[in-house]
Amino acid sequence: METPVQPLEAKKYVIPRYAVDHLLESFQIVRTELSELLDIPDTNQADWSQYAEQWWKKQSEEDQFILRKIITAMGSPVLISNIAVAHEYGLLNTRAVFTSTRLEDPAFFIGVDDEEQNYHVSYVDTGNEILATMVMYLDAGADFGETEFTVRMSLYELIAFFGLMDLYRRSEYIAMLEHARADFRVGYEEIWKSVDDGMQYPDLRWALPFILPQLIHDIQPPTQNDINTAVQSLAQKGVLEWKQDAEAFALTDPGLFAAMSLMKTINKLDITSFGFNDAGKRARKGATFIRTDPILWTVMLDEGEAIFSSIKLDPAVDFVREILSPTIVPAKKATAQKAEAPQEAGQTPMCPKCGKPATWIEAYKRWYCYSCQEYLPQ
Amino acid sequence: MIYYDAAERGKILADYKVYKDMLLDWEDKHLEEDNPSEVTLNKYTEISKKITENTLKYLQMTPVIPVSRCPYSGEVTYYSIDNLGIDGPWWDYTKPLRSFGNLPVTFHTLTGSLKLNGEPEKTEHQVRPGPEKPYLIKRLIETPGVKAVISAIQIGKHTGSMIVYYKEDMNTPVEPARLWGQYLWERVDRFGNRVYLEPDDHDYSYIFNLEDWVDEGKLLWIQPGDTEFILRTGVNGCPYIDMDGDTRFQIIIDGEVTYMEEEE
Repeated sequence: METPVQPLEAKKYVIPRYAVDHLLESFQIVRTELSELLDIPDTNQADWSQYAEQWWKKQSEEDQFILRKIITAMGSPVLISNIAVAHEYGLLNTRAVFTSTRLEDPAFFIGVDDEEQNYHVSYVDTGNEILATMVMYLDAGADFGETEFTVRMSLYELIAFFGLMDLYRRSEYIAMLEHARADFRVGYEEIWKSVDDGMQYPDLRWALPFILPQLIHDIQPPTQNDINTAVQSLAQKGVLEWKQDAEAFALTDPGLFAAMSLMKTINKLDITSFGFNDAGKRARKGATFIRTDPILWTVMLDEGEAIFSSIKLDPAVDFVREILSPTIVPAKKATAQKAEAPQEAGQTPMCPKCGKPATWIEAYKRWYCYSCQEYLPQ
Repeated sequence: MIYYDAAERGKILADYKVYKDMLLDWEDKHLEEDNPSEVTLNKYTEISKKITENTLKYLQMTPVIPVSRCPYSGEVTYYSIDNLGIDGPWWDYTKPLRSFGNLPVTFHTLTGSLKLNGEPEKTEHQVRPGPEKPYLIKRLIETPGVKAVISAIQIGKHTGSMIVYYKEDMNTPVEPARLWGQYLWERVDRFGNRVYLEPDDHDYSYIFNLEDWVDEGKLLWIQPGDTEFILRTGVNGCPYIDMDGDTRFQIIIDGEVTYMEEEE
């Protein structure tokens, strides 16, 4: 399969945070509950409305065309994907917003500035450009090696595993600094300290802090006992072994292979999407990828467990595409409804919004408020 | 983004008419002049400026409202429409004043029908709001990869329905069809470019019996008054099937209704 690898081309806009709520109201946007994830301040009051209108009028007609789409997207997203990429040059933390269930339709990157005054939005002509950018990181211009190393772990075991991997990396760096030969032997205490550090310091250059945000929705932070138990379990699964002579753990060959591979990390990519499931209820899906030279590792969450394994580019791309593709909420199969008969004179219902009398629209068998230009709720 | 207000709209329409009449008057008197005076030319500039101002006001004031939802992408379709009456220049068949809405990229065209409630408004412009009964364009709805959605809308005191056609794939060739109430088909593509042409729809045949198409799932519908614009399928409870009304296409000028049976 040929995968498109191209830099993202996006049109960029800055939108005042305090204008959005009023614009959503005045544009009559049909809002979805996912919108709340964008933390839009409730500012639909007179002063802010004036501010919003003034800002809107200053925009060119051409910009208004795209800005209206962006504001619509902010009010009615069907999928919001939090995307984090850590590579040697730094960290990219962004949020992709989709209003269409199709990846080929336009999409948006939305972030908030440090002062929390403005949304910074990039508009892309198609969501496939976002996918292409993710593919670029997965590909990373490196070779693809294969390994059969696959471990199914509980979430605490996963945390212990990455704590262990980070610990190995640190010990290698220390050995290099001290011109010493690395001899990786660790006890429960050291593994716990590595895990505890990973939980306390969100330094995304390390593997554990990078993967933790993916897990926080599903578990409580582990205690030292939880991690000790997880370490024992990892030993049973063949990742590490107890060395009686040193009274410490050492990595097994497969464990060492994974640790050495993770030393050659090129980048790390985490995608967590929030959307709706088939039943229209809120749902979440996501994955973490660690691109090393030459292995692409992935952590997939599956029913409260995690699978750490290597993955080839094509299935990885399919997986990312699935994460970035919202579920189509099916059309409702209508059931027969009894038409409301017009009420007797003097019993005309009042509009619940404006309190004025409604008018019976015979064609649709519905009451209508001419003042609000809306049908009355059934 | 000025709120739509009937009184303000009435003022804009009245001013618009005044300045258009002034322009016609000026043209009658001075268009043939070889050397019009500076005062005469200035008058023309002044009238044109006023017309432009009123046009902009009208366009800004015409609301962009949710009207439909795409069955392919799930997106709500927001359309700019003058829903306070057919006397606004939005409804001018040959020279409509319309701004672009907020359309999904799957949007293909929008047609509609209008059942008049009492006497229509008196207009200088020609209004072609379609027949009373909602209809489908056979050639469009039969195209694979095309679905339509019908929804209800009040246009002033009149009862309308609009049918939006969506196409699944932007590369699927689908015949254009005139937008509701205007002689052109036009849309804005995903890159913001305006695309328009005058369709040759003389060979079109129309379907007024919607039941089979609703049953087949090609025509979806939105319950009148549903503020979430949830797509519905199936004929049960569908208020658009078997609606009463004339199937002749209406032409309204100066409050007089005639019918177009050949041209449409």
